[in-house]
Parts: sequence; structure tokens; C-alpha cells
Amino acid sequence: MNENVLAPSAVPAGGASWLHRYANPGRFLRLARPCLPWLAGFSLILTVTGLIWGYYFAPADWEQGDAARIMYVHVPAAWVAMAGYAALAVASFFSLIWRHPLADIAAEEIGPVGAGFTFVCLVSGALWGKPMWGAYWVWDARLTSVLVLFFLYLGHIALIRAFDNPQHGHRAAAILALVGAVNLPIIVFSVQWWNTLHQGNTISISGGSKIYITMLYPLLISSLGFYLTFITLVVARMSASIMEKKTRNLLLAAAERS
Amino acid sequence: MTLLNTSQFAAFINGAYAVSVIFLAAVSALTLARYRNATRRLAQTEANK
Repeated sequence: MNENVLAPSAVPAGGASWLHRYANPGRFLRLARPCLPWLAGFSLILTVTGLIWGYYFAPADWEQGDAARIMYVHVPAAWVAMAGYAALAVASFFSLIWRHPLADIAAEEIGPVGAGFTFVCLVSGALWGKPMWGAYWVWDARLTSVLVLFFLYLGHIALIRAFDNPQHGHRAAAILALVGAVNLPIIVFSVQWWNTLHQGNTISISGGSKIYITMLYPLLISSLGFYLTFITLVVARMSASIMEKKTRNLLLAAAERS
Repeated sequence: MTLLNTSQFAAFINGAYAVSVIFLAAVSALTLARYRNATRRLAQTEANK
């Protein structure tokens, strides 16, 4: 772990200085450890509530029937997959520009979790597609762009570990993550730019959502649960990674002394 | 309460939920095990310093 960038002289003055101050792995660990049980508790409560509500109590769709219940796992997984990649791109940007060790750790730990959520999105989407479209998979713009997202995650995971020098791996993976970020607007707008079998956007932040409130609430709770689960997993993995590096450094220092 | 075993789509719905729940449970268990292991090893190493 390169600690030199966190020397006081490396911290720029001005608006971004607070960001650099909190990018210290030791400080991150001190902040994260007391937060983790709370994050885990809220994640569990919201995810379980959202999934049970969607599975048992939400109404069936007038057109799709009970198959629409797959929405309560598919849509949150898709949102988290995209938000996770956006977080990966931001961490990669900080890694490339300021060489923060915490940004490298974040990028390394976001990758596998984000890939997992993308996998859940793809599998649940296939299980929704079969009864509705008659096929598990079609080469539709939305489905294909999410598959590309999955491959970008896998590429990032592989590239970060592909070099003998970890710094080179982080740099190459950061460039891939930033270039791959162009896929995010393609996923979001694919249903508008092309004629797709996948339905258009149902939820709109600016109003005009085409979903009834009894289906919207469980969807939002399930989504909040998935987002919090993602954050909890990434923070826990980052904390574990920092502690593993610290242990390795202590063992190396002890070996050098003896 | 909806009885999903009577739905013609039950296998697809149950499959989608099963994949999601298994993924969330497995990744949470693995992360917890890694976190606890890292905490224990760091405490041991610091104690032996």
C-alpha cells in the first residue's frame, strides 16, 4: 500500500482537502468499524421486508400476473449493478488523478460485488423473460448492454490482478473502468434509442412513473435494501482489505527485525 | 396472501427469488467470514508485536 500520497504535503488546500483527509485507510477503518453493524442491520431489515412484501403481499400485475413479482429482485439488482459501476468509475478516477490507496482498495472491492448483482439481474431477467417473451434471452439492446456491463466487471476483476506490480494492475483496471462507464448511459437510454423487447422505463424521478403505488412501495424498499446491502458489503470488504494489508506490513516488519 | 405455488409462473418466480436470496446470503456470509478473520489476525499480530 503506497502511503506517501497521504503525507500532509500531498494534501491539496481548498475544497477537496476534506476528501483527501478521509481517503486515509486508517481513518476510513476507524469510521467504518462502528458503522458496519448498523449498516448490516438496516440492510437486512429493508431487504427482507421488500422481498417478503413483493413475493407475498404486492398485487399481481393486470397483464403479467404473478410473474411481475420478479420485478422486486430484478429491478433492484439492475439499479445496484449500474450504481456500483458508477462508484467503480468514480473510485478509478480518484485512483488515476490523485493515486489514493483507498480509491484502489474501493475499486478492487466494488468489482466482485457489482459483478454478483449484475449476475442476479441477468438471471432474474432471463427467468422473467421466458414466461413473458417465450425466451430466456434475446439480443435486445437493454439485455446486451447489461451483459456488456457484466463482462466489464469481470474484465476489471481480472485486469486488477493481471500484473506482478499491483500499481500497474490498478492503473490498467482504472482506465478500463473509466472507458467502460460509457456503457451506463447506453443501458439507461437503450429502451428509448432502439426498438427493444425489454419494456421502457417505468419509474421516473422527475414524475410520471407508470407504476401503481401498491407496487411502488415494495419496489422502493427492496431497492433501498439492495443499495444498503451493496454499501455494507463494499465497506466490510474494504475494511477487511485494509486490515489484511496492515497485518502483512506488521509481519514483514517483524520478519525484517528478526 | 398470494399462494405462489398455484401460479403458472411459480417455477420462474421462485427461481428468481432463490437466486437472489442465495447470492445475498452467500456473499454476506463470505464477507463476514473474511472480515472476522482479518480482525482476528490483525489483533493477534498486534498482540505479538
